[in-house]
Amino acid sequence: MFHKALTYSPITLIRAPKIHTDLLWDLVVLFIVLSVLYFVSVFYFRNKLSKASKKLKEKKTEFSPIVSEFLFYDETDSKTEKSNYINLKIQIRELLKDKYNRKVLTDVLLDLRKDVSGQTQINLFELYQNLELHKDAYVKLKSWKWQIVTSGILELTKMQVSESYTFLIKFINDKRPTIRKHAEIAVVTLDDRGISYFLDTTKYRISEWQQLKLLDVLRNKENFEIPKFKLWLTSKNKHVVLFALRLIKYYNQNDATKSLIPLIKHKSNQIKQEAINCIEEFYVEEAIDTLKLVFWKSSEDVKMSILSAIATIGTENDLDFLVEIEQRVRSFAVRSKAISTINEIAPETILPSDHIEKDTAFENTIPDIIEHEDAPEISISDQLQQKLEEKNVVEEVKENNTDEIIENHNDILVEVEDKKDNIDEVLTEKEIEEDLELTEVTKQEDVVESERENVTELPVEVEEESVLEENINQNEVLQNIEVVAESIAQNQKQMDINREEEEINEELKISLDFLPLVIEEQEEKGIQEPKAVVEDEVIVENRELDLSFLPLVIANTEDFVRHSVTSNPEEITSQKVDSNEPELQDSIDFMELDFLPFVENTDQNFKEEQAIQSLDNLFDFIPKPHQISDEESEKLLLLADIEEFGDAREIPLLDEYLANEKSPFLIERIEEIMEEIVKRTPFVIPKEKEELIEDSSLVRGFISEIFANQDVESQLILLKEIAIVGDEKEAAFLRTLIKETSEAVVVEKANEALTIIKDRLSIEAQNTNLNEEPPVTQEVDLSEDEKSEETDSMFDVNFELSPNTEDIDITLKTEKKKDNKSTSFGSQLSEISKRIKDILNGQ
Amino acid sequence: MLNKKILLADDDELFASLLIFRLKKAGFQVTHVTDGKQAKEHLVDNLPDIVVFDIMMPYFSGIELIDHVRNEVKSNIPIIIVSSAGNEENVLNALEMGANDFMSKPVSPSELLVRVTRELKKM
Repeated sequence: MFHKALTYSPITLIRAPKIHTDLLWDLVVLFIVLSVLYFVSVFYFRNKLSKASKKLKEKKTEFSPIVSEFLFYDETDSKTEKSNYINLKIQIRELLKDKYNRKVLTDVLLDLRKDVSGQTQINLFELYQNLELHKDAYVKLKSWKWQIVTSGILELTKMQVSESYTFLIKFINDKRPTIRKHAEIAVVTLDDRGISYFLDTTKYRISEWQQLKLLDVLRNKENFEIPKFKLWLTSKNKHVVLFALRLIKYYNQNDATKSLIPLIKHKSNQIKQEAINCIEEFYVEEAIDTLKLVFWKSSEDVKMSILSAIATIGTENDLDFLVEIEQRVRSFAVRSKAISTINEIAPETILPSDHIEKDTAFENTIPDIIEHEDAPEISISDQLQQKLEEKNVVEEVKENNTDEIIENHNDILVEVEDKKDNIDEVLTEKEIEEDLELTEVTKQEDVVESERENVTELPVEVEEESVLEENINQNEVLQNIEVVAESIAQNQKQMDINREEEEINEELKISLDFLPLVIEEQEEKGIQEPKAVVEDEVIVENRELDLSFLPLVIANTEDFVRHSVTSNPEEITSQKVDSNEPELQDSIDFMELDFLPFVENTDQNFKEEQAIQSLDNLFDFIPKPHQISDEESEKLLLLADIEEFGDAREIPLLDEYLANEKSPFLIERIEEIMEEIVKRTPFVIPKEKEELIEDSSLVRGFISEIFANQDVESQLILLKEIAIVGDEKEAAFLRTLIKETSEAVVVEKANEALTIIKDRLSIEAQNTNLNEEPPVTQEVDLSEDEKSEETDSMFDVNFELSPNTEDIDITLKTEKKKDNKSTSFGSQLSEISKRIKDILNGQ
Repeated sequence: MLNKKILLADDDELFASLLIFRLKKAGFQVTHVTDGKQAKEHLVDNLPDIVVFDIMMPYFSGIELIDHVRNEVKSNIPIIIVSSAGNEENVLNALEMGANDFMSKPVSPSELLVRVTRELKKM
């Protein structure tokens, strides 16, 4: 075959190798044979195992009733049963002569041992020994195979063969770990002295798992007197010491405190840690000095254990040590543990500080939080409290900065206190003080902030730390500040004023109306006086800025002195024009300042100027207060309501106010409202058309309309009344009526009435000339109106009926006069309607 | 308690023989089956006075046999479960399904006898 194989040419890489067919058949036959052998062997061994298993099962089935009989044998059983029992004993002894049967019986007993308990289990152990099956286990112990020895130890242990203890203790220090570990369990299990012997003699390491198993054995031992494990704290085997420490802790053997303390210094971290755990568990206060001693050279785990122990047994005397740890140790875990230990010994000694934002960080977020629905509401009292805290910080700044600031602000506060007495019935005195102080705080913050950031647009909030840091060199900084950007400061001043007004109004929700004027007693100077701020001018400016009624008084004339514009009021104007606000500039452009009074500072203001000068313009950024008395503010509120909800019917009331009012801005405000009402009321007659209306159509239209809707009889009655009460207007009407009416009776009556009116008017004209009284005109000023005592007739009121005659809407013209009769529009209206009704009813 | 019929279903024949011996010695008629299928068949053919089931058995578990007895056979005969799987889940499950008692291995045959007697007395 090999010869044939060699006759072929060598295998090339190009073509498939040529293999002789016979060789292939030979290989097929070979593999078939091998397969058959494999399957035959598998079948054979499987069959053999099955037979063995079957045989074992049969044997177990055979032995199980025998075992049951032995297990449940009772001396009280009947003679038959006793006889049966004796027969079984004889039978089983014959069976046990066979080694296999012994093995099967041993297996049966071992199997049953795990399923039964109680007395049956005890009977089982006794049966095992009575049948001398344990001797087979002894034989196994002599085997050189570790697995056989181990099975022997395990069998003796399971079947509780106590007498095997002496045979097993020699395996405790066996080199083979499996045998050693089973021997350790067996020794501890089979005899109460086993644990002591084991701990005394073992030279090998006791694994963690082995410790658990030994502990489990000890736990489940009945009637077991636990030895004092402190005896093994001196063992040369450190694993024994460690196991003993754990057993001491488990069994709460707290009589070993003196032995525990030296173990804190043990080289082994495990033993050290376990000893510390015991010390903590047993509250060994004597160990605390040793704990402190070993702390610095211990590992991190041991340090944590020491800190835990100190937390339990430590006192406040140990706080210094813990603080030292917190400061010196780099480990995050140890430092954290030290802090928690401090707090455990002395609760809340160290409060949370990391990642905690400063109070000032929440300063500007308060309005946002309030607006947010989900956010908890912050009461004003809380805000005030926060402000007061901030004020304290700023006060520190003040103290460290300059005494001038303090003096200056004391002056201001004194002034404020003086003014405060005259105002405020709404707020309590305490609230006023708080508000004023808060205002001062806000000013201070802005001053410092503006100073630091070189007069740029900055948030109002001031970090406490930054303030304090700035505080150190504040004097130097303030002294070295040069006024190099005065125009910027001037602009910033106005911006700060507005900003502070907004902030204070929005955050505190408290009106600043009551704040006093910085300068009240301004004496009017000549027009050439250099220091001049015109109050009315500022009012106009404020109106342009939508500050409407607030009488803003700029008292700080120092600005103008500082900016070298003191010689000419025009330069003052130009300074203001330089500001960034076009509205202001525009408002100033058209103003004539010549006629306005100049204001002079008082002594108090002079003090303030001194402080301001010393601060080098810092007070330019303090908002100027506005003074409005309570009475004025109430009027303003009333006027605002009238403006919003009022109509033509409020004009008489406004007229009355206008007549009584002396405050210029309130007068202007009233006039504005009246104009506003006139504009939005369609029935109000524009002023420029008054004469036209009076002369012609409207009054005549009213009478003629009434006249036209009546029958002839009613018209005659009406003409009779017109003749009694009419004047020039009715005369004009009558003339028109005479021309247009075809009814002869009506024309006749109209002529009569016209004649009567003319006669009366002529008599009145004569009387007027005799009294030399000036005629009452529409365009007289208030003072003249007040003197006028002219009695208006009901037809003197300019009014117009609405298209719907039933809805008699009458509007009054806006006359600037105070006449109770003329202003009681309602009474006139009712009188007219009553009169007309009477006429129509023929009365 | 003489002649009371007990059905013992347990695939551990060695342990079963021990129990059978003990119960027979106490006077009960014990029928032993080694899987759930045989147990069902026996329940159809001859309903015992009390049944002792293991949980882990071929074909049908002891829990399924409880359900069979209670819902299909519709019998209120006492059922005692004897199992080495004596965890809480199995115990609760068996008791909820209608078992009268549960014993975890290792079991004292004498204790089982007492429990069987007690359950039969309840009927």
